Amino acid sequence: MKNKHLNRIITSLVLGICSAGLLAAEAVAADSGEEQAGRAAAAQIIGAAPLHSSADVQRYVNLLGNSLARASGMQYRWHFAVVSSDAVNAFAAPSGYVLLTSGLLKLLDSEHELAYVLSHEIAHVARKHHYTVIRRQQLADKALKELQEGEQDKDVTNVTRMSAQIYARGLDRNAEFEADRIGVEIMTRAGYDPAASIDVLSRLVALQGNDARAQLLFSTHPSPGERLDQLIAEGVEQLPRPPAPKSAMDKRFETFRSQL
Amino acid sequence: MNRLPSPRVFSIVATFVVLLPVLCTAQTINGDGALVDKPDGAKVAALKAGTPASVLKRQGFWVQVQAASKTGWVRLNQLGFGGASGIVALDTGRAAAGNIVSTSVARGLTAKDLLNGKPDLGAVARMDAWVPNSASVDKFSADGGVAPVNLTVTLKVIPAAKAARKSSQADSDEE
Repeated sequence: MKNKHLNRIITSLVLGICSAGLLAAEAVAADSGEEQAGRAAAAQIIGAAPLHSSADVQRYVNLLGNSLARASGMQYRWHFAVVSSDAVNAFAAPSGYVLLTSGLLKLLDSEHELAYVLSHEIAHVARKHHYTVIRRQQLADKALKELQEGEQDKDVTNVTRMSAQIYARGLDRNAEFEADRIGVEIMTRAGYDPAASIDVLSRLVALQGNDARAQLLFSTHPSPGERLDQLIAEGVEQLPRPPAPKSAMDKRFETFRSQL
Repeated sequence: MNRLPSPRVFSIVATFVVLLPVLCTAQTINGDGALVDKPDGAKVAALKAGTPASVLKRQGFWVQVQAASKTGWVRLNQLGFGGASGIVALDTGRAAAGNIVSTSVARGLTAKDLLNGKPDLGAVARMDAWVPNSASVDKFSADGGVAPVNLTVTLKVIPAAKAARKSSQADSDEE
């Protein structure tokens, strides 16, 4: 009788330890899965448009991007990159990968405007917009099971395929509005001018319908006019603006832009 | 000696003619408010909701308009969120950047390119070396005169449908 009771206790303890182990493994798998998804998604985009060759350009976006990412409160290892393409677009990938086309950057007029673009993408990552969709699809086609079984090559293929579909199709409209709202707060918190969001969206309004370079951007996002309406309705003009333009900032932005 | 204007001059004149109607965009004031002489300035006239306003330019969150036979400034949100139609003319950015009309086919990053591209994991690995250390980021902010702000005001969370008034384009954007 006593032995039977002892066996039950031991069995319970073993099961408990196993369960805890599984939970821990699940948590680790989720983290590594997000990192893997981010790298796979970034690789897919770079496969379509190569990294820009200028080290100075990449250094600048990484410094600015990381200064903004601090204001997001997310502790990822943030990676930023410029890809060479005439297309006007930007991409966020899970676990802190952000890619900008040189075509988009050539339209921007200041570091404040670039801060808005980067912050919008940082907000996508912080809210896990893409990763949520990837996870949902992984579960739907049982790719998650394959991940846990360690079929590495197949996993990457699955995730890159899913990522490509998401970037080609776009996110839910509300995710884009949310990225604008949170992104403008991030840039303001970091010390940049929230009015730059109005400048960038105004410029995109002017491009709409006229420019093949922005075709994918417009097919995957709410219209820039709607995004303006939304930001104004949310009270963007109540946010504090920095005191005065900084010549050092303007100068380094001009240098950056000339290298694109 | 008479010389024909260069193609560049023709181009500038043509652009001006095309953009002229846009530069004088008509809006209406969306609520009772004041016209002021400059951003955050003194009141020039009272404005009633529905008053027609011709938009002249924008400066930050302020818009210069002609309304009630006077020229002055109103807050951006006094213009009834007419983003798509009104703010186009207000782009204060790089000359011509907002008015580029390209008929060429975009190079790279169409939906088809993204779907058919071959993933480049080696390039992603190279990006690891670009992540700056904390001290470099601090220096970058200090050099640019950028200082973090303790944000006491945040944006309102409101349903998109309530803010969007020009939804015809977006309705067709299935995402």
